[in-house]
Amino acid sequence: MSRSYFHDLEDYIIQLAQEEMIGDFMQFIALNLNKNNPLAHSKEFIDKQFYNKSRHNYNILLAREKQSGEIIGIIAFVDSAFYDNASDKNNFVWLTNWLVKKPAYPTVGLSLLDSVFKYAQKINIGTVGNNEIAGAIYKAMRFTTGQLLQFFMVNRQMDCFSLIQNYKESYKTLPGSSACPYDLCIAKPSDLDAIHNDNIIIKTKAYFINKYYKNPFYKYTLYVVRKEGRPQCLLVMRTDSYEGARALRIVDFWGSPDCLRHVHPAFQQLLVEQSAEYVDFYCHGIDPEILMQAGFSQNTMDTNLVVPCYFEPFCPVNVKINFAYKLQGNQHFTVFKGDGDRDFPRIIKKGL
Amino acid sequence: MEEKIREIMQVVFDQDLSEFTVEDIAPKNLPQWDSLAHLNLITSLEQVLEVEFELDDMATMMEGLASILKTLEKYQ
Repeated sequence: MSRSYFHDLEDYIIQLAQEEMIGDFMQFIALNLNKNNPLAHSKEFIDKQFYNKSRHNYNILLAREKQSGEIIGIIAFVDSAFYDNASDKNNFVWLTNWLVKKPAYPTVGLSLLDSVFKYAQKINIGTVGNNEIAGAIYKAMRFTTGQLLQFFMVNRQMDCFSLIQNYKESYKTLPGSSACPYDLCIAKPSDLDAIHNDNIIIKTKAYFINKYYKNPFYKYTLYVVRKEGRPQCLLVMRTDSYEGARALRIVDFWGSPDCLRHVHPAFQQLLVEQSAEYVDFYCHGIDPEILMQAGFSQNTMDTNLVVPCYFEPFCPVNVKINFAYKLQGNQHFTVFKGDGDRDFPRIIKKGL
Repeated sequence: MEEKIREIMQVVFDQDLSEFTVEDIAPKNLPQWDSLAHLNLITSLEQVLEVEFELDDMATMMEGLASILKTLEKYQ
């Protein structure tokens, strides 16, 4: 990773973004994606998401036309070590932004992707939130592709909803007995050491602390499910709101999903305490039957039911979140909305 | 082998390539050869030739027909 150029092609080069190139990068985003995207106007946001402190440059590859020096494509990524550089389990790269100027050199997009493969070498690679065209490319490259399933649970003490649209009682899944030894409470840092997971991505205590506790843009709360006092799994949550109505969002998960079967009473209590309409959970790799047993319903997105995902600004539509990944083995794998950089703010407050 | 590959390319790119030299058949001379078309080409080659390319080779083959022919030598 010490080379400044990954590719030196006939018409363009691909290089890691250095400090002095971020202005050009931001301009490229503004012109080719959206001038309101935080990547177009907030260097602090870019630093937080992509600045690699050990290399003193950015986890962003730029394709530059040789003749003009103009940026013609970018790809950004986050690797496992980004949130925990002490971890010896740096085994995953999440692709986050992949954008090519149109019209461009025809295969610059693939050249950028290939450069990340070269960076990742033989480790695992994935993405969350890719568009359909990128999905077709990943599929052709034999990635596992699909859409995260959205599960949700409404506050059963509420009779009318302003965020969820066209909700029917039939979506309520009534769980079994609420008498169980499981409870849901705010996690202590020591809990993070006590939870085990066989997922191929290693998420460490430092990962959760750096990514979520210290997040400057969103206030995340880490909850732990305990059985008889012992931590079983971790849920990373935050709140979205619109005109006084609130939604709880589960964005990350760590531990054994089995214990979720028993958390319906605890989630109902949390929804009431937070005066939230619903809690939702975008995920892949967790058995839907477990979540149904917990009292969640699946938003299949083929009815008129709407469980909103976008709140910046609020947009009452269902949102399908695509994913793709390629592993070096055949392991069971889970993906959540918070993986990669999918759970990022669309609006950055002034000063950031 | 070259003829077979040319036939596949003509279908994928929807263009008569009979007047092109091997060196001329490259993305810079075929505007329709973008990233997605390249992956369509790879998929077609894999199906017809019954091979499965490594990711590195998929990228290398973006250089053009000459590179594709050279890469295919590895798979024969």
